[in-house]
Amino acid sequence: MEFLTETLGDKGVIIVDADLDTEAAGEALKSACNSLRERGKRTVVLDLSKVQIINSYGIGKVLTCYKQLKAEGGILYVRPLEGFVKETFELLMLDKLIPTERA
Amino acid sequence: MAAEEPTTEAEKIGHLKGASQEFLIRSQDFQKAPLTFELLDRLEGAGVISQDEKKRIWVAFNEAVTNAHEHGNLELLSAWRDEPGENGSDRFSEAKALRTDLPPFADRTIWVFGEFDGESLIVKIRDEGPGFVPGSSASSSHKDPAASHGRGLRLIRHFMDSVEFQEGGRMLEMRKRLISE
Repeated sequence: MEFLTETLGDKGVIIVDADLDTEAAGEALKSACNSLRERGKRTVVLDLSKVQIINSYGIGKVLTCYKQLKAEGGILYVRPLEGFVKETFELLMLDKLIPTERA
Repeated sequence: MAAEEPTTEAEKIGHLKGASQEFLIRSQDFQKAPLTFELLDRLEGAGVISQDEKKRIWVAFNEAVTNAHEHGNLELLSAWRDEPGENGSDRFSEAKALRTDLPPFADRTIWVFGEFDGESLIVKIRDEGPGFVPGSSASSSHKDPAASHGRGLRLIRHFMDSVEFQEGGRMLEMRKRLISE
């Protein structure tokens, strides 16, 4: 499994097109985040609009990316969330930690 | 003559009352096949739960079974996620990979039982680990959103109506009311 990454200037975007509840999806997110960091991107945006289900494992991988970027002076954003993913982010207060990208 | 399919909501609920599912997962086989819970599919198919409700219960179920596997049968400590391992990963991941094929951890099983009693879904999950004292760090919930662990149990408690540890922490029973009074 591999997630598409895009670069827009100094910003990197990860398009997550699978549920974030398996080891394979978690590793794909980790690889995508590392790939953008290795290309010097310190602002990364997660597009989770195609994700239906996220569990604590998937959240853990999102937080790993967040912490790595923060340690390097960078920042992780999410594109506006919906449905179950939004509910889970709010429940775990991740919406206080990871800002939403403004258009 | 074939039995008529239930059509009204009451008939559908009555048709599924008493429906149950029971199975065992060997720790060695835990990651070899995707986890499934057919009873949830049946409840959704009969219109007893919505797609959104199914997602919430599914995540609670998935978290509970994963906890039974990792913290119960494999005896992995959450704090190990923050400790470096010997091979470049973290201690938790390395111990998990090792113990999945190592007796006695690998030979242990997780027993899963689910039942719809006509009003609620009751799920019981039992592991063969050493158990823990409910209220200890193994069962507490962190409120720090950046904490490396503790989210699974918070999701379970939020998505289910009641969550109870029994048998010295080896069995989790959780309930979700599906039919409003």
